[in-house]
Amino acid sequence: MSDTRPVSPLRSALFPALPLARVRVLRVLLHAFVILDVLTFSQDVLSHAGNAGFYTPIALARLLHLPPVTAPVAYTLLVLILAGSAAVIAGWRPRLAGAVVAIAYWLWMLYSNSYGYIAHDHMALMVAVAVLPTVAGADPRAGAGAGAGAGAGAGTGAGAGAGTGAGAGAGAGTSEAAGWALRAIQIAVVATYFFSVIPKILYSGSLANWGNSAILTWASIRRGSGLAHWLVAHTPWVFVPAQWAGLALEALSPVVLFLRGRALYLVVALYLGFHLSTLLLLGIHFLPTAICWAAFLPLERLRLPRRAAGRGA
Amino acid sequence: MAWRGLVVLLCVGVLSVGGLTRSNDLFPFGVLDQFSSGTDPDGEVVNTCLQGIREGGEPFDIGFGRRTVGIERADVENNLPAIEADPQLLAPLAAEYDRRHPDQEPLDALVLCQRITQLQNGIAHGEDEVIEVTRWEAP
Repeated sequence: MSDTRPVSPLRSALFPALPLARVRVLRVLLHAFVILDVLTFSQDVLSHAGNAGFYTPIALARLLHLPPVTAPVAYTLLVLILAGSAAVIAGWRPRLAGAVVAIAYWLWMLYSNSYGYIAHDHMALMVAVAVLPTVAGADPRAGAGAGAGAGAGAGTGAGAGAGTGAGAGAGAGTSEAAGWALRAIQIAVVATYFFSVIPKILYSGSLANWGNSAILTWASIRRGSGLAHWLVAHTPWVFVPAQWAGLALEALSPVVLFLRGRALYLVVALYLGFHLSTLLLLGIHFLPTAICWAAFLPLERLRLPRRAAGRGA
Repeated sequence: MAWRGLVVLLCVGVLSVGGLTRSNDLFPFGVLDQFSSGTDPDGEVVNTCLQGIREGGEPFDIGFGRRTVGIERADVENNLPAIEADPQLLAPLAAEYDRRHPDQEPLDALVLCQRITQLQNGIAHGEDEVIEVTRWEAP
């Protein structure tokens, strides 16, 4: 943590030293969400135990020679995820508990996505549960204090590195390991949008073809809310501009990695607003990605209950 | 830090390969192709559906989902060729539906159907057409 070697500008840009307190808060937030996820959005693993005929294992599942999921396996994974997440939230050996959750949750998601439907909203969350246990913490008391102090000048992704004194060992409450984990989550969030541009070009011939298509009409008819059906019937002209706006959000998403301060917060609100609109119109919440936007925010300014915040990261 | 940088590069590399090869197989770093096929404004919207049939009764709509037939619509749509080749794959769906409706007669048949909406200039046009894809019949 207190490495005093000189650090190259590239290294400090890629792996800025960021507050450990942010990692601690993010752990609590994301593991609480993981509990919600396995009990709701990805709960299909439990019912897949009765659909062995639909099992089409994806590459990682084949590599691990995973057989079709059975009820005992599904419930074992569920218990491991719930217990491990509870331990992380409580601050009990969060790295060990986080590692258990990471393994069990990845297996859970491999099963969830090996029966036909592939979810595209879980990449950042899967990256998050995998990288957060890699962050070794500072002394709890030093971490809490320094974290709060760093937070006053931080608050952004790349900006935080500069704000806390670029490079490694910027302070007792920061570390490059924390910076890498947070950066990895941020990159995964941005990649979720940016890499969705590629198939739009490949499948539609060009971005213009996609932007001018009837994809939102199609989605609204198939799975739209009452509001979406009303738009189809009365204001169908709204969909093409909306498609171009969505395209702009996706293509320009890497810019977010370089924003800081108020501009960053506004853009985060813009993306969350985008997800709110797809939720209201199509019932698509993208919450597993949306929750990971928290990695861009100065969570170290939040105060957690003593037990969760005070334990070693 | 070196290994951490390599991990990031590896993941982005796999994501790039997944995107360029249109492969969902590389999940969680496969192609992110949700809603990526632009629909022809003068084409059609195909909506996969389920209908149950009991002896002497009219077909009735059954929704997809864990709380009805134990599986989501997308899972079924991505297995359509296999289901057409072997309609017995619908048997667990019918069994789950019956299990959740113990007070009613079991299904005699479960029909996998498609509800088709025509588009004209990006606007829904005319009445929907329902076609049968395949059906499972109780033994």
